[in-house]
Amino acid sequence: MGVAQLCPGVPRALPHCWGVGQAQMGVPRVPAPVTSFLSLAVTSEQIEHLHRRFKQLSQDQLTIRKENFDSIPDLEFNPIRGKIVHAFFDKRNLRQESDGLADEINFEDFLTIMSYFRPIEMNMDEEQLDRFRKEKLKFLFHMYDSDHDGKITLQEYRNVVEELLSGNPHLEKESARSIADGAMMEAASICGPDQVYEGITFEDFLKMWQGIDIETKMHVRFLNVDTIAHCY
Amino acid sequence: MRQASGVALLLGLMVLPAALGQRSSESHKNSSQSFAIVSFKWDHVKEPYIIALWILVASLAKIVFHLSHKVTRVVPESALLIVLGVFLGGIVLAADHIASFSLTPTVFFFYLLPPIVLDAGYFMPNRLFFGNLGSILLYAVIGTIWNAATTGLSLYGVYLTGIMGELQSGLLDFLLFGSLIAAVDPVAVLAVFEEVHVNEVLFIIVFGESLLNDAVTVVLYNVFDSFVGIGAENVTGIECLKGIVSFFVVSLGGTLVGIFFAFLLSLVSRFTKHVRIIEPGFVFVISYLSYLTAEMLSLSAILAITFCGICCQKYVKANISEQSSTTVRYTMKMLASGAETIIFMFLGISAVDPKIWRWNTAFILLTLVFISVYRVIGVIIQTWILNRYRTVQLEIIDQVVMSYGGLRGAVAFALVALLDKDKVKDRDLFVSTTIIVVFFTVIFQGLTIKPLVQWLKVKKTEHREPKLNEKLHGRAFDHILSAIEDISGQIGHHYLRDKWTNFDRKFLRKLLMRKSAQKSRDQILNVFHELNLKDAISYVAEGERRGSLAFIRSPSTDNMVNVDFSAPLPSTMESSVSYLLREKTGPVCLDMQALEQRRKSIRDTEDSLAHHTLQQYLYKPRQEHKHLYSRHEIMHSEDDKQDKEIFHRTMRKRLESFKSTKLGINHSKKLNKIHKRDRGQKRRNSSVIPNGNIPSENPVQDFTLKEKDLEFSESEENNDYETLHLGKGVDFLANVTKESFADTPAGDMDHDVEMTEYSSSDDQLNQNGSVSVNPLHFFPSCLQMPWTQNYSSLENRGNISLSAVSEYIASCDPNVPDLFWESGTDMNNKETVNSGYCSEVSFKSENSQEENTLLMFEGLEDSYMKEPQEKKMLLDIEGNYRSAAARRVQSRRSFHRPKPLHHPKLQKLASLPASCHVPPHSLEQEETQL
Repeated sequence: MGVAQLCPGVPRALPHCWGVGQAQMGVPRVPAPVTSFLSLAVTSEQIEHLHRRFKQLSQDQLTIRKENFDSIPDLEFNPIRGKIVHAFFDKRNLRQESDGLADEINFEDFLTIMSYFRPIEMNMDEEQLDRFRKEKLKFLFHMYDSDHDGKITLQEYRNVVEELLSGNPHLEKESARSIADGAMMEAASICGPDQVYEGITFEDFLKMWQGIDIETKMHVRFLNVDTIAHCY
Repeated sequence: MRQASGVALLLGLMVLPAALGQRSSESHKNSSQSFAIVSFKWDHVKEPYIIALWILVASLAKIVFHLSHKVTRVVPESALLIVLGVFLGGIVLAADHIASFSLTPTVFFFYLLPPIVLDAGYFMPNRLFFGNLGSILLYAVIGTIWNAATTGLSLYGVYLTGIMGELQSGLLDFLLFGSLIAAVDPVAVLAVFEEVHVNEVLFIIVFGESLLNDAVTVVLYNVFDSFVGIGAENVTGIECLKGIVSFFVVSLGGTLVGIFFAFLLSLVSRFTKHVRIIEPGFVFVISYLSYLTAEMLSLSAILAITFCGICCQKYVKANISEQSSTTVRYTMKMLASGAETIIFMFLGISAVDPKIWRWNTAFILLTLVFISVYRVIGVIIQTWILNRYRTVQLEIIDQVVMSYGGLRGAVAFALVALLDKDKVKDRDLFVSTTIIVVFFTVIFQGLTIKPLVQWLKVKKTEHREPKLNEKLHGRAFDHILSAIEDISGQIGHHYLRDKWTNFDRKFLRKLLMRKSAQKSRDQILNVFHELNLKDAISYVAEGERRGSLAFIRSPSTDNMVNVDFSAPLPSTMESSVSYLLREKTGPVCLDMQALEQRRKSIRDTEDSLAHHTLQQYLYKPRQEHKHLYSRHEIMHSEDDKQDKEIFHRTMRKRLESFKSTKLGINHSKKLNKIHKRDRGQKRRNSSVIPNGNIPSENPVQDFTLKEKDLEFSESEENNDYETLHLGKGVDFLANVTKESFADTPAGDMDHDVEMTEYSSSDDQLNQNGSVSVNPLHFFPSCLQMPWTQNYSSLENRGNISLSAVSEYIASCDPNVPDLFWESGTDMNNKETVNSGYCSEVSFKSENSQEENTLLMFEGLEDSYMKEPQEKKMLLDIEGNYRSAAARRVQSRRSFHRPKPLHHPKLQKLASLPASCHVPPHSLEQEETQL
């Protein structure tokens, strides 16, 4: 299935790989995220679907604000809901070399975030895979690193774990904390105690993930099932 | 050679009953007149006796196979068993001229198959299974129908050309044969794939297919069987429609029966608190009932018992006690493994029966060709469809393995043996062909699949330790993905799983799990426990080895055990003696058998005392630790609290000891100087055991101390043995501090001391820290570190311990020169040894601490401190220390007398988590991969 064939509006010459697309996105161009998204879903129908969804969430505005995510009822039960919504507005995830929080995001940004979850393609070479993997991990890293200092400190990690485990009413905060501590210790065995004392950097983070397969873990296979009825 | 002798032995065993049988009949005649004191009643016990003998033979055969690793590595066990079966069958045939034994469908379906399928279901990696359920279902349903139809039709087509000669079968017979030969067999697949270790996705797809295709097989078989019965001319469209409907009824019905019984089982297991002993029985009986019920309703029995296992595992494992859980695990594996062994052996034996053989080269060869070719075609087509929807693509290599892994087995054989000769005229041909097919797939494909997998470089499973980080991130991913699906407004896999999890937590768990279990069952918490436990075990193993080696100087005793610290210190490690030692002895051994052997060897050695100490300290915590977790009693909320506290504290300590690495550096440098001085003298002595006479079983003397009593009663309240023991250990350290430096705040039972406090006390000690302080610090560090680091249960009693810990860490700091490292820890070690002796010695002389000290030093003096100043100080400390140790031991004993251990220590070993055992019938995916 050729790209051009499915989306005639998108020139073929545009970089196929997301990593490259990202690099060129210092100045946002309209087709760039669309291109990147192509690798996510490959079908223009899905982009259309997402666009419809976007409009629905934003109530036909051009941008989405944080409050718009409140209208998704299923999200309510998600223990790390706040972190996820936050990630959508995290400028680090949206563009390179920028920081801080966006107040609102447009459809491009929306697609950019979604494209972090695209599955691996069969024809990717080693280098692309590596970059691909890093992108995904970076997204996760940014989610953990809530104060944007490039390090996951113990406190930040604890917060994440507490949120993660908050779904279980029987687990107390203390347990969550000790689990976070344990995880931090474990990280220390990989990265060395100094780093943990000061916080996990992205390099350490990558090290921690070495040998762990994320292929199955951070991918969404978007099916064409409409659940628009589910949100009101 | 060995095998040959083994086989000879088995033969002897088998001939015996026959001979006995003859004799019994003779003796019966003679003794019929009068009362016989001893009568020989062979006929009376014949049936069960033969069964038992066969089982014995099969099990012995397994032992024999595994004597040679070379053979079992190349040849799968199932193939060996079949060959053995053929061999034995041949001998019986030669001796008796009748083939009296064969695998009857009744025995197979009622007794041999259920354990295997239950085992598969109960230990099914659920997450993986449901994650790939779509693919599995497609392969199982469409794939099986495809195989059955194409094989049957092709054979019929070839038959029409006349190559096969004259047969009395019509199209329906061929389809019947196709349907029974089409199904991939769970037993064969398990037996072979278990040894191949392909990646989990591949495994679950092939294995899941083999389980779930049962419904299809049963329906197809029944449909065609009845069609053959009523005759081809009477088959109408309505009949076909009925067949299709019956497929849904059979499969869904079987599944529902399974789920119903799983529900029942979970519910029952919730209320078995007071009948722990029969707890495991419920698991087996109710699961078996699900099988029988499905069979009774002519639904798919395999599906029923599979789903019973799959659905109940989570709740049952949470509800039943740790011991019961172990029992269930072992019994299930044993039954499954045994059943599998018997099945394959009897498959071999059944083949040796001249009556069933009817050879038709074309038919047999073509069957082999067709099932292989259509399997490949089917897999390729289905995978092509699936790959459009799968997140993880199935690649060409995977498809090759899947096609090649389509093994046929005992199910096909049992089904073909069920055929009625009157209805199916060519039954014998079908039976022969099935046997050939089974043998071919199990032996030939089983033999070659391993090299094939290696040659294709199929991704294999690596058995990784469960990592806390990995689990946490995995959890995060789950939530992120379901959120993304929510946000993008699509129903995907994660969406469904998320909803199910919510439903499970809100309703099912409340209904099916004990309250206490609800609390403790969180995956992440479990991994956390497991890791803690593993730490502890590795420490024990290490300690035991040390024990057996008379504590040969091991600079890094603690270091080794605590994985966290070992990584950043490679250079230090290499320089130490223990490093070499460790290199020789290999990785820390978690194998329980090895552990026990080691225990025995230790007992023989002279330092049984050191071992005794170890045992007291190291086994108990492990038991207790597990015990606390297994005791899901609602009344023990205190225990839960303790449990939690313990975890928090461990973690905090571990972490803070980390932090204090930094704070302790200066301190350690001071130490460094001192120890450099002593180094020369100390180095050589570490392996020398002080020549103290060892009064191992001295009667406990009247040796009361107020403080101890206080402690004692307190810990009895807690009803926590371990707290007592370890608490003692720490407590006496606090005492020492009190006596030595009155101004050091030795907070007792101060659990929530914050980091800052630790560091401040550290500073204080630094100020106090003249030369004399330092040796003291090493006691605690050597004694405590292991437990602080590894056991969740150590009480945080005083500041001194923490400072000691921090010092210890400091001494681990890579900045510190190696020399110091060695000498310092040498001392640690030696003192550990001493402590063992000290405690005992002090029983003897209960008088004064001075006396103790002197007595002690007779043994130690020459080898220990030479500088008078330091010696004096150490003497002092030793004195305190020893008396404290004595107190400790004494109190321990007095504690034990009223409350003896309920379980022998080794019994408890069995209650370790699955990861510690070598699984007997290793469906190793068990828990870690969920």
